[in-house]
Amino acid sequence: MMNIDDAALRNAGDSTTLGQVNDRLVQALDAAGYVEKSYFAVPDGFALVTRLEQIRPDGTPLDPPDRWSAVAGPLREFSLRAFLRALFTSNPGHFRILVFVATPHPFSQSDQEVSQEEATEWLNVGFNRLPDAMARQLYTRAYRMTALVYEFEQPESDDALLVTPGRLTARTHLARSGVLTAIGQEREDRP
Amino acid sequence: MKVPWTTCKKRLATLWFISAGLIFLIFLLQTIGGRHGDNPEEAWGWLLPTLMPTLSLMVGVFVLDALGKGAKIKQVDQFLYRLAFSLSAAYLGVVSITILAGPFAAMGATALMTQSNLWLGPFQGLVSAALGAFFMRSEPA
Repeated sequence: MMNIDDAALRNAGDSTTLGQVNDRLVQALDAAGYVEKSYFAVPDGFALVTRLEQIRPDGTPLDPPDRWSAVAGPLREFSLRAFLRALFTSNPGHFRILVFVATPHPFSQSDQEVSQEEATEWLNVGFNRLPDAMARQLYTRAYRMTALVYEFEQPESDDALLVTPGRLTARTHLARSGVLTAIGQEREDRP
Repeated sequence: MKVPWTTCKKRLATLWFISAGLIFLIFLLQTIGGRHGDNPEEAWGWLLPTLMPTLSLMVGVFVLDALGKGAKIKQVDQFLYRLAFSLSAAYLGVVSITILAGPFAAMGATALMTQSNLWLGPFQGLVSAALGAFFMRSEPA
């Protein structure tokens, strides 16, 4: 869990709306490849969920189409080193889902376990866009944008398990996914 | 055409024990490296029946020879020897490929081993028949 520096998502002054914050966040996520999202309501705000993606152990996304596959695929890198590593060591699949929560209320993570299937279903059951009434609300100074990273590991021929705590920090996940860079670039591109 | 049984027997044994030794070594390193996860028994349960029956047969023949109860001088049909050797080499090659192809298998290495019984089972039958004929149908010089 990580609070994002939302200066890049705000207007100058106090005139930013939730809709504008959402638009900038969506543009940044699109630039990082996260084109599928869904929305959930949270107290006085929203939660934006991305699609489950497959990543490398260092947190960088796999190349498509493997990136969006929910099943760990076979070895595709044809090098002796990669082959020997795959032959003699375990090769679990690594997956993650990003959730961005905009709310003025502090919250904590629960200890409830989430399965990969449940987390994957979030994309299907959430709203397709931010409701207009919520989009018009002001994103005041009390608001914070928090990023939650759900990391899963799937051993070969076994079910995926939530990794708690994650192997990588939330900041590393966001940096390696390209989201932090995209948010910063979004701020630079804004007139 | 006849060929010396002792020489052929040793060549077959060399093929089997060297190949099986390398396969065992790979499997051992995989188990130590965690390749088989929390269920190495399943992987070894696939490997051992694949190799041990034939290795046991060969060890038994050599033990009999060492105890002086084996055949003294024998010859074997060259075609039978070549058949047994070729089938053995091909069988061990397929077993090796099944293991080495694990990282590239879309279904996963463990599932590949399970499915390999479809082709290794009948193949092993042919190999066993050829080796059995080789070891049993020898005749005095």
